[in-house]
Amino acid sequence: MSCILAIDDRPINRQFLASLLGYGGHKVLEASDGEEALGIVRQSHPDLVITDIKMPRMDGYEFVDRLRREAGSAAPPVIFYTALYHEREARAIADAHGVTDIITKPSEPEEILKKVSAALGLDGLTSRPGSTEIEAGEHRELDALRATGLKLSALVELGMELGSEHDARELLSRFCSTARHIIGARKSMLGILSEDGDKLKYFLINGLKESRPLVHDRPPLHHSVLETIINDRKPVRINHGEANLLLGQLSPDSSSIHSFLGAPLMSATEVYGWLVLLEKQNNEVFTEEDERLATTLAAQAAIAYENAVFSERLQRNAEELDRTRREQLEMKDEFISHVSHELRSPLAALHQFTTIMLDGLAGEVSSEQREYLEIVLKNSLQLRDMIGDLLEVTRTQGGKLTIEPQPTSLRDLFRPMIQTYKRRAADKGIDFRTTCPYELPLVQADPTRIEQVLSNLLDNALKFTRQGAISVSGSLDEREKFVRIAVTDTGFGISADCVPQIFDRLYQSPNTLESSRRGLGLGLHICKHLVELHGGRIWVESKEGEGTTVFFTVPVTTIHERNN
Amino acid sequence: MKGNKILIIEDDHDIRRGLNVRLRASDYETAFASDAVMALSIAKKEAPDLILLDLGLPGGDGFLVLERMKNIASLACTPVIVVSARDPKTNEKRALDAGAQAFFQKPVDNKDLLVAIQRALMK
Repeated sequence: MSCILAIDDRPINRQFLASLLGYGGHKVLEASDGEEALGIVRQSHPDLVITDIKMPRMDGYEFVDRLRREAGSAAPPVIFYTALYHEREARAIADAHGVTDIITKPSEPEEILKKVSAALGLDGLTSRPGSTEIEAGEHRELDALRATGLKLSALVELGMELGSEHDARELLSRFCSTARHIIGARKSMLGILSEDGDKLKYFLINGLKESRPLVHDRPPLHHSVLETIINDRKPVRINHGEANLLLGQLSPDSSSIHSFLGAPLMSATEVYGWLVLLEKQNNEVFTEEDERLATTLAAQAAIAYENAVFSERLQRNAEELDRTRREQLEMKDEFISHVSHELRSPLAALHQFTTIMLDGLAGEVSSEQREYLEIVLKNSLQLRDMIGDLLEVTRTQGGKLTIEPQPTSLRDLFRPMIQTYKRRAADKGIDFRTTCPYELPLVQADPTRIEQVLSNLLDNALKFTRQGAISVSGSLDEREKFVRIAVTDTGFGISADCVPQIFDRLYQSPNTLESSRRGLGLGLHICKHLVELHGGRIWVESKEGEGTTVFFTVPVTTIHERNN
Repeated sequence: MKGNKILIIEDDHDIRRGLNVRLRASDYETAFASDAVMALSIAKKEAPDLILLDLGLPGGDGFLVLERMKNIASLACTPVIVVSARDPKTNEKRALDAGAQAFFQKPVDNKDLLVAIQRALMK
């Protein structure tokens, strides 16, 4: 009696091996993972190890490596026990790991016993030891048990694998082979009709000797039996002599076909094709139970196939949509970039000649003429800024706006700009105050971008304030991670229901001074984007009729200068 | 620096004229080219002290003109200032890398431009 260790993370597979090998006259130990198995090997020195490959924590390959390292030449031979469709991959790796053999799930019990005997060096032992002592009735009972165990384990495997497979051909191929094993046929075929029903979209065969394929190049599409399955949407079961007669055209060697079982691949609404099983094993016939099983399996396959087709289609549609969207975005960006470029040239001429006249290069200008030219100039500059914003906002949408942050002193950065705004405020008769403690730390910021944010906020403050004061203040937030800048005005304020929208693209205040233009409604949207790119936050507090404060934060730099 | 000759390579008639007024007011002499093909031969003939170069030109891109100029011995050292309506984000660095002294986006601030011209001429 040999001692065999069976390793598999699924109890049903272990139980199947244990009952089969036990029945084959072996002592069977079980382990559910590699770690546990190594412990058993150390203690009980089994003669053979049969291990699953796909297991949590330690897979079969790692287990074999560990085993070889620990036991060296004393290590028992190992057989891999793996799902059928992993066989090719497993075979290559098994050779590399010095693994003796591979048993695929599901396998015929005889085959498993044969491989086990071979690995144990008991080659003559293909028949069950001690079988003479077992009564004939007991035999049949054990055979039935064995068969049921095999079917169950195959069904579990199939269910788990079908659920995760989204490639239609792969799915059908697995199904075709598993159905053959479960029902116990020597050959199986699966056909899926093309949409017009005229051709076969998929055709898979399993269990046929490669040298003598049942179908050479033309799948048996128009055979009457297959048409009957499709048209009547019912299984067809033919045994013995009848099969030969009916299947005359099906195969060049149809004389050998003694039994036939076919079922439609059918979902609630659609017939996709058929599943055909040929030649029940051991010269038996297909039973009513086989027919029920085949019908159920075919229906399961139809649903899995339907899902796979839908998921393929969904995937394709999603990819196409994504491509179209990106193309459109690209086209829009190109268009806006082109337009803003073309708008700048006439604007440049307009600006140039206005300033030429204002600078007195074309002769004296009267004070009234000067006033009007100033208006032309102011408007041309507004136009220039709008064109700039337009380009900027396309960048924010396309994710193309990038910043280059560096350690920056906001105080030094803002000083010259604040001087300009102080003058502009004074021209309007508005007070301008700044409060900024000297000890503010450096921030990690892209200077031009943060300057752009403040300049935008100050433009707004000036635009919406008729009288009173504008103030800019800087402070360190409580956790000293951010510098917070606040721009306060005594303008119209924003009504509570407008506050959440003011950072939206194209938001325009309803309360602009009559004298100033409304603008494109892009400024704050761009500000928000820029501040967030820096990792900061921007928000607003406002009381209608009293004024507005816009806050934004910029992260304190974590890069320390050498002289600090 | 006054009396230096500046070649304006610019296809837009109005912009060319505006720049001409500006530069003459600062006592510079001017010469003109309005496309990429003529630009090089005019530059060779006029031998300007500085070149103002537009990028979008008929007959070839301004970058091409810049590159060719740098390969002509008599022009290789002439300072070039690019004045273009194109986006500085994608063109400024490229222009400077190709050997331009400065990049200005239209419409330009004339004061800044005149300062840049002066500085380039002093080098």
